[in-house]
Amino acid sequence: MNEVVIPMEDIQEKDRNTIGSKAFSLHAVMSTGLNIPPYSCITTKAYERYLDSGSLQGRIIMELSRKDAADMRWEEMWDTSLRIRNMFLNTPMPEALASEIRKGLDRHLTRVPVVVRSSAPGEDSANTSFAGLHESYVNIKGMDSIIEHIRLVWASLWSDAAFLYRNELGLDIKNSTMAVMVQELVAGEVSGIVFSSNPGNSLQMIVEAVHGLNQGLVDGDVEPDRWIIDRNTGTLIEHVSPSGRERISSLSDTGTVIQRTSGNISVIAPLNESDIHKLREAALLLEKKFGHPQDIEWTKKEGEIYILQSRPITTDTDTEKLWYLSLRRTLDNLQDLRKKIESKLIPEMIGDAQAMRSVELRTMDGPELAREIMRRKELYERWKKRYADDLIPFAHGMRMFGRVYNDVLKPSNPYEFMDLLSGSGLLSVKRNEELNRLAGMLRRDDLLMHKARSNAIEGNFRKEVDFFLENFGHTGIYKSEEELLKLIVELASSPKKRTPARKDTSGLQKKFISAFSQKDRAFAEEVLDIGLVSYRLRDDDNIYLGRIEGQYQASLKEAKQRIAGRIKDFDVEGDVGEEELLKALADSGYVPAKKEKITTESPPDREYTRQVRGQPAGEGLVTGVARVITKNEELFNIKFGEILVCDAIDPNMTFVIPLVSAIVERRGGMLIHGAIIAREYGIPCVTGIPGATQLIQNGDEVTVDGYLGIVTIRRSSPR
Amino acid sequence: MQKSDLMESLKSLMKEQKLAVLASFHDNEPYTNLVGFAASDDLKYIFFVTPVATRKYSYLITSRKASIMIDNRSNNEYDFKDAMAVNATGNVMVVEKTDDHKALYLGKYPYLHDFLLSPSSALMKMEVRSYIVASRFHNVVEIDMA
Repeated sequence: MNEVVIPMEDIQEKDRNTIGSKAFSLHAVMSTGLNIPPYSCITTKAYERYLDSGSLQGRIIMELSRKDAADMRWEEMWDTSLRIRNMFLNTPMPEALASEIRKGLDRHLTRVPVVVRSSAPGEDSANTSFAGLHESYVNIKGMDSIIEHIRLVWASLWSDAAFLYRNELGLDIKNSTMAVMVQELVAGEVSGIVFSSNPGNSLQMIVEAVHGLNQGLVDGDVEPDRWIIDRNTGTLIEHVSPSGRERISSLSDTGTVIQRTSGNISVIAPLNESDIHKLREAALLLEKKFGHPQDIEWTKKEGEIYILQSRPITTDTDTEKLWYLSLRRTLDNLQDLRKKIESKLIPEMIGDAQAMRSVELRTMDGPELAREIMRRKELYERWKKRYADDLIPFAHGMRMFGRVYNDVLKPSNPYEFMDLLSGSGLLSVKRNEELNRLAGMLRRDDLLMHKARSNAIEGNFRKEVDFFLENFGHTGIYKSEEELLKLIVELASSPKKRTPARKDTSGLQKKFISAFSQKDRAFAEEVLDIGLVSYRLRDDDNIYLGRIEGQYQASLKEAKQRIAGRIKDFDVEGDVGEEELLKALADSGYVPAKKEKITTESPPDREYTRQVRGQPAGEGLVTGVARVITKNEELFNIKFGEILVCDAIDPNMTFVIPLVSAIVERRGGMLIHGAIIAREYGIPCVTGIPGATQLIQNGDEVTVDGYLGIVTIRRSSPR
Repeated sequence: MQKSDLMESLKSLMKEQKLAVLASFHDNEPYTNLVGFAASDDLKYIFFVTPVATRKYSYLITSRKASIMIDNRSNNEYDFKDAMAVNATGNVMVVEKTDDHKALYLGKYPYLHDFLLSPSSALMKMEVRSYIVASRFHNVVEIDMA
């Protein structure tokens, strides 16, 4: 008896926990007489033996010890998952185990294209079903490739989505395990899903179908035809056609590909009434078998319907998790998004900021200015939403590139791919180079330096500063020219000029592209291109958004200047809220009330955190004095060599990076703005330090270990 | 216990235990930490790794004096009868991460590969002067390694 492989016909009740929910359910589907593609199960024992075979288990434990998952942001979960996945990629399967799998696997499955699917125990119980948390690989051919993809499916036990649902799954190194199905690929002419009960109306059933394979429908790249039918009578209630049927998911040499439909397929609905009837019958049968409404994946080939999987319908209402899951995009989807961002969103953002700048605020009366403030606020809020809807998801481009890079090159450092992306001309780096040029002018001219120190610039330097403000100054950060001059003077006074670390990436690029076969190189280039654009836009789009915010801030600043004279005992800048400001603009006699500040008295601290571990987001080791930033204006107080400690850095703040010697950030991630800019300048960076700006005080001596992600704090004075 | 038996017990204890208590010394005060450790076959040296931005590193660099306690207690009353505790005393220094040293350390802790190889961590070697082995509550044997 082979303990690691069980063919579908040998499955028994006792195997439920070792073959996983998906494999066990499909066996139950088979017992109803419905067609299923033949499959074999690689049991959880194989996963456990693999984990025990070397240092993998210990390395996963070390990775999980880095930080409590409850304190992780989704980007950190992605990073953790990437690191663990890389461990699996670099840990070969022990030969004895691989040999047992080879012996046990049905010969037929090694001669036909297969799907290597995850089948985690407890994944799809009657009460919980978490589709898409683990990986499946379509169109895998031959034993060696099957073995390799089994490892990738095992790795997906620790996927970012699984971390997101860790509580529901009970994800834990001691108890979590993974089985795998190796299943013949049935390349149907038509595929789809059935919800045996419409989650919105239990009297109805929903059928969705696309031409070709299911992959495009599941990934959201191909819009399906949708039928709503009466569960009891089978009467068609509604047929919703897609906006087009021009896209189809088909088999490529390795995997699947989205192509344009050929012939007259695009004008034909994928299913006829008889098909829908058959699917309804099957869905009702399966619902009866499992005793719960089912979410069924199916495909139709040569007139026969095959059930690919059946799991209970569950509706997740956690919008944050669903939003995160929606960030996972395919290459096609990202390419579409890129077009939208480059040809529409960025030009619109630039246009909106320019249009606001051309509005003369000073000539407006109070009520007009109040309306302009509200208009700008709404516009800013709208852009923030579009940023979340379209621009954040596009950042997935560099993640996709990273995965492809790691899959094909299996580097020991899972972030080697970032070396290929950095130095791609970020707007923020161009801005910093411009600031360095201005600082250079001061460095060479003592008189000019003197004038800049006393805010009395003129002549050519005045023009240069105006030009800088014209290009980069219209963000919410620079409140005044004095602040900008203070920064340039500090840069000019710095003992060392820090410039972006230039790396020759041509060798690495060649290594990446040449790792693909000739026919797949176009794909490699496309993925690299998406990675590069995604890396650049992730930073640049914040600069554009900053310009919108800057115009909103400019309108508030104008209002504050107007009412400053009405206030005696407090500061208009920090103590007057927007609502009071608007009232004061509407009524020239109104004196705005002071904003209430909530202060909490805390007893003197007897304990302080001396060392804390986060994400090692930029290599290097440095010790320096902490400069803790809690308000943007504090950025202008930074002195050369200090360590920037902040909550979350964005590209509108990174003009101080040429001054600082390291970054410590509360927001965690290896690919976030702080990490990106640290890499560009080659300075150490640790992200994901919870409460960084509270744990560390201005003046503390801080050591930033960007290799291991450790921050050590030496208190300058008691609190 | 015969001397050879004791050395064998010591070797197996050093092999089996994953963590030891390292005591360093600074400003007339002792300071202790848990560390992963690996001993050379002849038990003359004990190796461990520490990030360089730590107190233990700076204390060890300054005074070099340290002791390491390795024990096999399981936190129950049988420990009074069965537990063995060993105190190793000696001088500590930073050593190169040579292939031999790496093989010794990673042979025991393969999953601490990145920690050992990080440029921000140091591989430390204790040259053991003596072992003091305590067993059965109050039986104590001293082994001179010098």
